[in-house]
Parts: sequence; C-alpha cells; structure tokens
Amino acid sequence: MHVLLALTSSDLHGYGILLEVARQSQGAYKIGPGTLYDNLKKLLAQGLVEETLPKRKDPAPRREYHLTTLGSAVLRAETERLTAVLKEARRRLRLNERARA
Amino acid sequence: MNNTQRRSFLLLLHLHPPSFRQRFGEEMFLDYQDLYHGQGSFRLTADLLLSLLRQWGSVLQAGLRAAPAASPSALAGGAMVFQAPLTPYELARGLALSVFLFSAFWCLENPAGHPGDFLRMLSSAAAPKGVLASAAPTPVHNNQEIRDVTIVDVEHGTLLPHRTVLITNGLVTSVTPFQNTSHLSAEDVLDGRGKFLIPGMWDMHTHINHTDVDFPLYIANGVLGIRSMGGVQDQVFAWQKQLQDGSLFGPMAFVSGPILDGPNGPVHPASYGVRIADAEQGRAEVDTLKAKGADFVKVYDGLSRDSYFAIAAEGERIHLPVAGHVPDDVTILEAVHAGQRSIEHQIEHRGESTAEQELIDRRITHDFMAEAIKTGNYSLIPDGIAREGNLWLQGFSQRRADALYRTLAQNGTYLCPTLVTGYWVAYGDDLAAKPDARQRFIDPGTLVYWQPSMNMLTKYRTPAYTEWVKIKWATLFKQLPRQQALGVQFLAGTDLTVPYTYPGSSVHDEIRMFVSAGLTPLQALQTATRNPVQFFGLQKSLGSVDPGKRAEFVLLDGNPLADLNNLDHIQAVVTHGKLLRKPDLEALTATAADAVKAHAAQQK
Repeated sequence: MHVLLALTSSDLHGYGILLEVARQSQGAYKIGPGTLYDNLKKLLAQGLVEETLPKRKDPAPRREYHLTTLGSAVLRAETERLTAVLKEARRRLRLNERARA
Repeated sequence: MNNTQRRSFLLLLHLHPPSFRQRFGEEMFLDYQDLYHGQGSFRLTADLLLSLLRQWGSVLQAGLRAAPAASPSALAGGAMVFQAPLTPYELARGLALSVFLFSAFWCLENPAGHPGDFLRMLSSAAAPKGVLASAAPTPVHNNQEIRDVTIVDVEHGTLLPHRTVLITNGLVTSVTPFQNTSHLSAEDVLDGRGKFLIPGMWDMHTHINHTDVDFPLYIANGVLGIRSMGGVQDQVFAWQKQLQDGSLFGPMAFVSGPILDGPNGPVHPASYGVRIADAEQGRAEVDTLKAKGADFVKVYDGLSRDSYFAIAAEGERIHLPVAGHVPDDVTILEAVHAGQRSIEHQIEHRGESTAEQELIDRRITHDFMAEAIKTGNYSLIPDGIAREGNLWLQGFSQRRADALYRTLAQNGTYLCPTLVTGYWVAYGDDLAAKPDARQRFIDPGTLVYWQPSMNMLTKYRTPAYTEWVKIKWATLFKQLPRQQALGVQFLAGTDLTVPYTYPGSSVHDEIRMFVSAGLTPLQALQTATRNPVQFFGLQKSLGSVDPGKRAEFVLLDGNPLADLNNLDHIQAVVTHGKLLRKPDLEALTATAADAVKAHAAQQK
C-alpha cells in the first residue's frame, strides 16, 4: 500500500520510493531496501506495478517503477476499504464515548 | 561506505536466491550505498539479513508448493518425504538459516572471489537492456592483478603511482598501494611498473562493415566500446545479439540499427537507410526499432520537420534517445530543444551563422543535388556545397555561435565532430600521398575508392570547392577550444568507413586532433573515455579504475597526458574478464589482416 501510494504522483526508482514512503508518513514509517524489493517483486508479479526504462536525462539512470492501471484500481479499492474501516472505527469510538458519557 | 563494508554488503546480497539477486541486486546495492550515510550500517545489515531469510523462505515455500504437481509418480507411490509435523514455513526458515551459515563460512574461505562474481553477473544479467549492452563473452573464473601501475584518473588528470589493481571475474575488487606480495600465479599477474592504466576508449561514431576485421582491431587498439551510427539493420542487430550472448568477441556496442532519412534524403549506402514518409511512419519506426533492440535512433538530413519532431517525441516517450545529423529543414536550436542527444560532424556548419534560416529556406542542398542527378553534371554538387558554405561563412557570428554553444552545454547536447573525417574532406590529397601501414586492414576493392580521382566527393570537385573546404575546416577547428570552454561535451568519433579512417587506431588520431585544435591532453582523452561513459549514463560501472567498476582498461607504455602518442603503445588490454597481453593483441591484429585477405579473395 505504501509503495503503491508512493508511485501515484510519478514514476520512481527504488531509492526514490524509500524516500517518498518516509516523506508521506512524515518519517514515521521507514522501510529498508530488503522490504521494498520484496514488495516490488510481489507487486510486479501481480501486475500492479511495472518497470520503465531510466529517464534519458538522468546522469546515472536506474530502473524506475510505474503504477499500472490495475495498480491504481487496487489502490483505489484498498483506500475505499480502509475508509470504510476508519468510518466503522470512528462510529464505534463515538458510540463508546457516548456510552461512557 | 568503506571497502570492507561494501564487500560484506555484496557478499550478503550474493547469498540471496539467484532469481531475486539478478533482478534486484544491483538496485539494492545502490540503495544501500545511498542510505548508508543517513542510517549507519547496523540497521541496513539487519534489513539485508531479514531480506535474505525472507527470500530463501519464499523460494523454498514455492518449491514445496510446486513439488507435488511436479512429481505425481512419487505421490502415487506414497513416497511423501515431508510428512513430519514441520510446516513449510518452519522448514524454509531452517533451510535458509543453514544455507546462510554455510555460505558465510564458505565466503570466509574465499574472501576475494564473490563480490566480483556477483557484480559481474549483475552487470550482464540485471542491468537494463541497452545500458550495459554487451556482457563478457566467456566467464573467466579467476583473479587478475595489475601490479605497481600508475593509474591515470581521467576525471581530474591526476596520476596515482604504485597501485595494485585486483580484478575478479571482470570487476575491480580493490585498488591498493603496491606491496611486493601476491597470491596469484604468474599468468594472472601483469607487471605495471613504469606503465600507465587508463579506462578503455570509445569510438562514438562508427559504421561496422566487417565484424571479423573491425572488432579485433578495436580491441587491439584499446577501443573497448563503440556507438554504431547506422548499418544494414539485419546485420547490425545480428552482431549486436552475438556480442551480447558472447558468441562474438568485440567491444561493448550501442547501436541504432538503420539510419532514418526522408524519402529523398542523401543516406548512403541506401541499404543503411529506412525512408520515413511522414510523422506517423516515423513514430511507428521508432517503436519497431526499440522492439528490435536499438539503443538509440539515428536521424538524418532528409527527414521532414513533421517526421523529425514526431520521431524525437516518440523517442522521448519510450525512452529511446535520438542522435545523429540535424535534418536540413530543422535549426540546430530546434534539434537541441527537441532533445537530440548528440549532433555529429561539427554542427554541420549552420547554427553559428545568421544565414541559418536563409540556408534552410532556400533548400539549396536539395536543389543542386537533384539537378546534378538529373543532368549527370556531378560538379554541381561540390559547387553547390561551396556556395552554401560561403553563405554560411558570410553570416558567421561569434556571438550567435557562443550563445548556441552555451545552449548545447546547458542542455547536455553532445558534439561528436568526427575530426579525422573532416580532415580527410579538407586534406584528402595529403592523406592519399602519404603511405600508411594500416591500409593492410582495408580490402583493395575499397582502397581504390579512397583515391581522390575515384571518390565521388573528390572526383568532381571544383577549385571553389577545394578552397571552401579548407576555409571551413580552419574556421570550425578554431571553434573547438571555445566550445570546450563554454562547457560543451565532446565525443571522440571517427565515422569509420570514410576514407583514411581505420578501426581503433583512428580514435587515437581523433584524440590527438582535439589537442591540435587547442584542447588539453586531458580534455582530449576525456572525449574518448569519460564523456562516452557519461553519455550513456554508465558512470557507476565504467570509466575509472575504482573498486566495483568493470575492468575495461588499457595499459600504456607511457603517460598519455604527457604525450598522446603513447596511446599507440599498448602493453595490454583488460576486457570481458580477460587479460590480453601484447602477443594476444598482435594475434588479434593478425586475425584482422587475415580476414581482410579472405574478403578480398571472396570479392575476386
């Protein structure tokens, strides 16, 4: 989910994803390359992410990763699901508070 | 990250399952290097160890899942091996741990062997296609050592004396101060005392005619990389694949395949060209070439504006660089802004002149070409070139030129002036009068057409043309140091197949010509070593004598920065994991000479 989210605004290479994940979580969630490439391996196999050739003007090009249409759809669905979970969690917390009150 | 840390990271990466390691190893290593400064080694080592367990775990789990399907007979016979209360996950973890411990022990036993093996495999298997286009032909599983050598740093122009370079399976594993001990046998040790080690050179503008002549000569002359700027595409893609799979020994090659020209463009020989009628065909051809394995697209004079800009945009879209001539109807600035990566042959004497647009509008070239062909009066061609050239010269503006050079520098557009070819155009008579032992590498049938009386460009020349080409040469030659000072990056290219160019050794001539024009020996050497590597974005794996880089080196008898004639005195070449000493290089030269004779006999 974090990796997919990192790729929503632009294609990134591995190191770029690591930085973007840390940035999006405001430094709370830092993953290492070991975790990242394990995830990328699975996402590539599932067709949620694809690789692109390095950017032409990059002086030291690295393979970049791109969110596929399927990846976007999955991310959207997952966001919907999490939104529903959050909604449910909020509802329960509110009920809880009301009960206490 | 110091050497030991780098090595231990490489070792741990090497212990990963091959499929994972080949696919992600190189990227992971780069990331660890980048992260190292931010995080320190403990956290990263832990991440790497976890990754190791995870990947072996997934491999073993996949293996267990696949096993029943793969061996139905074993199941039918009731020979289930894993009926123990172990879950596949536990088993995988156990196995992974044992593999890890075993490998760790094994690596302690063989400290030097693996990082190189690992990186070498990466550079051949995991690198994006085209970026490291050609891998070593045959894996040579051993270490080599160049002892007590002076390393020439082509980035800064400094000399590092008394170094020992250890090479493992084609990769530099260490560069250390010389000590008089070695564990290697004599055949793997090269005495570098008093010798100078430089990164392999490149010919950034070549056309390959005979791989059995050109490739051995490139290697023997220390030119270990080439950029093929057009040929008969089936042949080019065929030898490109042979270089990649190792069935052909030669330089690392980046290829365009054919040359894209307009329907009536001047591409010669015609078999090198693909005729592009319009934008749509241009876009489609770029896609086709990428699918065939082209590393870039070569564009040419006769392309229409529509076709050219469509090709440039499509190249940008699918990440296939565009390089070559600037079409007649396009200004140099337009080409720069369209993203063309390199411009060949001295910006084709246009962009520096206020007459550029006028030249384009009049389309003089097409007129006199067409007329010459129609009337059979071929003198119209050199006359037309001289007339067009004088128009350019009258409008020459140093201010405009400088502004253009700055734009080239800012946009990272490289110039490949092919000076040896330009010199031939201006001073072909002098070259024809001088004996050159290298002509034994040119078959007699071709040599005939090198004579001024036989060559199309010189046969019909007029006094106006002869005078003009010398003025043009002098004018452009003077611009080179200015271009360099303003930040333009040059590439050394020969345009091989043009008369009086020779495979490999003409690159040495080209480098020396840069110095004649006013560049420093270091700047000149960079055009054939550092700049090509940067052009292809290969700085991480090539271009210097540093640990982790591919060992593609040339050992010279003398310091090239003191005298560039030392480029002709090659003591050894290291390429594709092989150490080629002087007798090996002489043998390569001899095979080229034999191949020339065979081709000549065939022609008869």
